Amino acid sequence: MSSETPNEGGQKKPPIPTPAKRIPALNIEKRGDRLYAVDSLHKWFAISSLLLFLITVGMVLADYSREWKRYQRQFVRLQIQKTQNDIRQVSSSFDRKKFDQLEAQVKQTEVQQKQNEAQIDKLQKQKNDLEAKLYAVDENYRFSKAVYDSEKYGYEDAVAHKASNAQKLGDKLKQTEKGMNDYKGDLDKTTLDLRAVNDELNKYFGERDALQKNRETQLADFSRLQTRLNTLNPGAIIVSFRNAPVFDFMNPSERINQVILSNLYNDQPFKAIPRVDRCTTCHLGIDQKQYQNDPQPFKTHPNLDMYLSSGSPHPMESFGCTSCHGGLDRATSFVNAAHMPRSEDQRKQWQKKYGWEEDEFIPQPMLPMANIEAGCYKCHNGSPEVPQAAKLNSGRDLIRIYGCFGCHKLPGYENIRKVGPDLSTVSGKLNKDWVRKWLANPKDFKSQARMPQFWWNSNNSGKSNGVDWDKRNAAEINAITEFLFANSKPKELPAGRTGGDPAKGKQIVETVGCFGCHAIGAIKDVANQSQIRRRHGYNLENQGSKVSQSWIYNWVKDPVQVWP
Amino acid sequence: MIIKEIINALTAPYYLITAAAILLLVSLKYPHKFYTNKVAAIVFGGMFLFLGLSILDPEFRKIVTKPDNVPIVGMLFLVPFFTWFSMREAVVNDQRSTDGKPLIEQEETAEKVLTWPDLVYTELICMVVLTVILIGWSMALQAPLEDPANPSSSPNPSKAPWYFLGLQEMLVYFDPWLAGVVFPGLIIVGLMAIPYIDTNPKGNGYYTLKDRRWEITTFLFGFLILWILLVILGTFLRGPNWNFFGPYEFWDIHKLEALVNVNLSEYIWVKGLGTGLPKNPLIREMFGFLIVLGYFLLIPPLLAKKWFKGFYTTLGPIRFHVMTFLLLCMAALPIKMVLRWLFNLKYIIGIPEYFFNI
Repeated sequence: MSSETPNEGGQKKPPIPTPAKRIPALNIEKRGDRLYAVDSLHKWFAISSLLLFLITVGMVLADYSREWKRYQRQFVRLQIQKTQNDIRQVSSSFDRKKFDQLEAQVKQTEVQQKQNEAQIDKLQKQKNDLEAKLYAVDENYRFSKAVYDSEKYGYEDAVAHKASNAQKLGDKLKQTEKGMNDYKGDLDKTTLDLRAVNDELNKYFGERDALQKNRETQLADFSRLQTRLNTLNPGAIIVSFRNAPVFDFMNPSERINQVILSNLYNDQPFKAIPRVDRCTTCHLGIDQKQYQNDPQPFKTHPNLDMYLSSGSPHPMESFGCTSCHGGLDRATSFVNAAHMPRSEDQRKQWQKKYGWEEDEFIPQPMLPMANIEAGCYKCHNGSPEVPQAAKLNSGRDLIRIYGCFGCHKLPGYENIRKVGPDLSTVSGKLNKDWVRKWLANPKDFKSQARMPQFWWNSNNSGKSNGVDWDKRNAAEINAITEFLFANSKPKELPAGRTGGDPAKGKQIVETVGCFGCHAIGAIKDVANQSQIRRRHGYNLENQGSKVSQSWIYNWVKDPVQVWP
Repeated sequence: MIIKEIINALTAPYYLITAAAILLLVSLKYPHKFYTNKVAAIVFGGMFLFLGLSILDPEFRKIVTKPDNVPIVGMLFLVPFFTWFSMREAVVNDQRSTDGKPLIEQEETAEKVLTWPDLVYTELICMVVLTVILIGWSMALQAPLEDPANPSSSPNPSKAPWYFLGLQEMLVYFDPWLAGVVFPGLIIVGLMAIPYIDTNPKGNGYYTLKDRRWEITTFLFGFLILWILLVILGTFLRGPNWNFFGPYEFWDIHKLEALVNVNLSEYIWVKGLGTGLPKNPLIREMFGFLIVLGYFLLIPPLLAKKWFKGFYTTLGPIRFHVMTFLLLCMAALPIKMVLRWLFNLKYIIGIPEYFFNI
């Protein structure tokens, strides 16, 4: 605020100020001639500082409370529970009797020791003295050896360079060697003495030590599990210290696990970024057998022989998770990882539980369980069949049979023969009336017809959008039929003979093996997929109404003549 | 709803900017009518009511509650409030000085300037409270991150940071070299030049409108209409493809606007003279050059002779010409806007061959 008074260059001096009228009269006795009372400012300062402190604490807490940490804590609890179960199991199969017996024997040897206490004490004292001596002697020997080695170098150097003092050095070396050997003798003697005393002591202790070792072996399972339990649960104070803000840079127990896949990339614009799969931050039991029956996210992978385990064809270290499953590799929260629900129910459940929503920015969300085999195709696209991916295989099969690639461009299907027959000789085989009926609804004629129905579907029958579809459909079908017949150049075929015996014919059809390839009539057993998808052996249902007898005669006689 | 339709239509840039400009100028002409507590209560009450009712509309809510648009909502209230507040003080002061009474600031600081604790301590408390608000805000509204940057697919609408949306809005009317380079440069240079151009000593340390009517009007027009309003327009009313969308309109990416803008040369040669466009761009655009040169060379002397005689004598020729140059540049934006709205004028000089378009 400027201290200059207005009207600086002005003409008249301002009159003597009256008390400021526009300043509210609140607290006038406290604040005196100031705008604010200092006391109340102190109060506001205190309140705002407290708020700042609280919001800073809140900020740190909000920053540290991560979804994955919750799962890791849950998993530790699960591990503790499992270890405790193991301990219980071990104790139930524990041979109490044998252990008690050992315990009694150990007690007995201890009683014996009591009787020879004086002797043992004496030996113990001897042992202590010898150990002290051994330390000193050993040091003397090692030091003198060090001196000897360095003098030896000096001597050899002098000899090699033919120095004048070589002789003198040689004498000195000999003297040192003698001293060293003395120490060595001393050392050997002390070692032997110590061994003798130990042997003497073992007479009293040997049996007890063996028994004690035996007892420890019996308890090995217990102590291993106990150590595990202690590592898992070192106490609330240690755990919270290790994971406390700032201190967690050292060795936190809650940490992000990741598999770095240096050969598999995320395709970003102009940059391929190595995948870093952090899924195991929450899916902690995914590669361990013992979590098969635990809830997600800890559940074991259902097929460890095929995936994740080091002996499988897809070990975790080189394939990770997202290369097959999809999803955001670096994400560490349920929603960000782009989990995809397998059903509408699950979607609703997730929305409620996790606030799940589809993230439009994740390029490849996870494949829902129903489509999981699609992940295989990323790598297994060269072979006609992918082993153990039945759904994927049958899907690719369907594409081939139904000819999706006729209209839709599909990589890998460019050079496959079209699924429909050659129509250039159609007028020699069919009549117009049949073609019209077939086009109107192929399934009316043959229940397993693969050609779709194009007319009289839900969106082009009756009258809608100002179109009389019935009229239009009929017109279109007629036009197509006429077009096909006008452009058809039928082969000249000899007239077929007639007058066969239907009963005899039936007998021949049934006996010579026509049914090996052909079927006649609708296939009722829809579950029998291979029957529906058979690709050779035309279904002969209703053939009589489709083609002339003469054509059938010629076809059966020599198919190549009809369709070269 | 019919009211929503009307509001959608009325917020179109030409109505919005024109109405805001007229409102500002009228309010500065009759300040004692506009900058009163009663008018403020009505205006801000109306704004809150508008926001409260509009937030029920899903399209409006979607845009207004976007985390990066929230500060602009704050600005929508704060800028008018402080404008109103300072103008109210100015009106009171002006009244007092005509009545011969002491000014507000004189009363407050007659004997001493209240620095401690009135200024410094309150500033400290303000600082702390603002930090609290910012931390709380950043915790409550997550940063609106989108997918990784991809040069081959830019987001639509592709918007500048909010404080540059005024510049982006200028791109509707001018080429990038003007709207993105020359005008921003002139804004900075012009703001720096103000203390050297403005020799009016009045208004130092106190609020007044009467003593500085010209300066305040110019500044408020530039700041409120040509900057703040364009930021608000760019934030809330510009959707995919930088098309205009009313506040209740769905941001349809397929919305089309007829681009039927025409250059001045086409107006003159094709429509006026009935001939084709000359091949030589300099001949083709000579009328545009004449107009632009006339705008910058003829108008200043004219002003000096006629309407701005007083300025010319008080400022001297150098100050005066710098001021008029900056002023004309500033006026170029609303002039181009009006020409665009009325005549679909694309460029006054349009030489796309050399990327020289004005």
